[in-house]
Amino acid sequence: MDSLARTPSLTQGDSSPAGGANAAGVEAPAGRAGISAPAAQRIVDATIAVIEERGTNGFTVDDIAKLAGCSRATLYRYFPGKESLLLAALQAEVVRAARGLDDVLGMATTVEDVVVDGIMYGARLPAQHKALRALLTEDPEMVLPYLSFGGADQTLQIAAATVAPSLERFGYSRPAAYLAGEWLCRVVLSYESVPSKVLDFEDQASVRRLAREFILPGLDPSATGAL
Amino acid sequence: MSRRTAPESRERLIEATRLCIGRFGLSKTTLEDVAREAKFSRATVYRYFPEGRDQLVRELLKSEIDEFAGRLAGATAGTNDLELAVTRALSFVLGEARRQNLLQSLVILEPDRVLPLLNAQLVRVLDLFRHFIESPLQHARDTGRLSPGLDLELANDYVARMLLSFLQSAGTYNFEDPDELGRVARFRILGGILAERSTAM
Repeated sequence: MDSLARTPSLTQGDSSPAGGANAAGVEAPAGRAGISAPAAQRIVDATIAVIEERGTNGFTVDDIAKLAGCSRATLYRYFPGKESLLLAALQAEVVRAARGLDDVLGMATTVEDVVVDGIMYGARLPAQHKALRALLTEDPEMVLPYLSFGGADQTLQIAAATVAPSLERFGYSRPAAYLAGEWLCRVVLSYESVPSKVLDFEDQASVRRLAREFILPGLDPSATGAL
Repeated sequence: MSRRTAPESRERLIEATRLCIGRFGLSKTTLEDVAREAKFSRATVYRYFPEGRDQLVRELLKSEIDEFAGRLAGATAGTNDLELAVTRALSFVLGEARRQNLLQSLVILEPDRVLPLLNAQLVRVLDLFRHFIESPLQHARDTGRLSPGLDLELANDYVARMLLSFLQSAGTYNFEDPDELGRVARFRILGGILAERSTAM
């Protein structure tokens, strides 16, 4: 069952990438192959700015072209319609989120902090990224596939790749670090999509308790051996 | 002409919805298709489902989840041992994820339409998992196997959520390896919950 065939990649445009990869290995979105990426980037930046201001329904493709300083024809060459603009905006927000997470985890001084800070970052993502929040609430059909079922694999992979280096710093092997990163993403996706009646997920003390009692014991590779 | 009871008629309509969606897909299934398949008039369909097509689809999803609950019960029955219950539940969940069933095919073919509906049912599925783990958890507490000071509600919530997570995505674990499944259940999911796994962090 290849659901990825239907769900576009979160990390690249549906065409070949021209953007650079950040530390977490996440590609920046780009336009179609053979056409200059900076123009596409301007268009995506403009889209995000407009979504932040007006939501996903409050603009037309012409608004974006004007803000990006390009013609409608140019815009359509990169992005055949509003739907592809929204997807590119989502991809860009994912890149931004991965970089932000990488920065936060880079400052952690213990494995526990990696876990707690990582989860808190994920928990606060919608609150702190206006465009992402708009996409989540106004275009759930586009975003939900990445949070649930088939498309969630991509989200798990991106999270795992972003978190792994920070755990490797603390002596985790790469495979163990990846699996741990994936686990943290599972936790975030779960508590975000179905709020808990018994845990305040946005409260750091509660998350720390969750980490200490339930997550960390299962993450420690020296204790779990083969895992 | 035989008289059908109301529950039978509703069930017949839900089954007809299932057949039509399997045949035409979610977005292309109309209320008329369902009526025709069930051999009812449109008026009759509306009598049972006044909100029309959307209500039929919602009821179908609920029915699918009811059947899922039945299968889950079967898979986890016969044991009050927490580790075994979680292992069986995890195995069941991974099997479900691989099953070729209606929900799975809809999620793949029409995720944009199906997922918002499914997500509304996630709370129900979570409750199901909580329900099946509750008794083994209590048994573990009563036999002194739980980590000291553990909050049972938090533990129940956590286990249920991780099981639901694996229903949605198997991730990168190699579940072809039969031992892997047991390890994930015992150490990842239950690592902090069962007392033998001491915290030592």
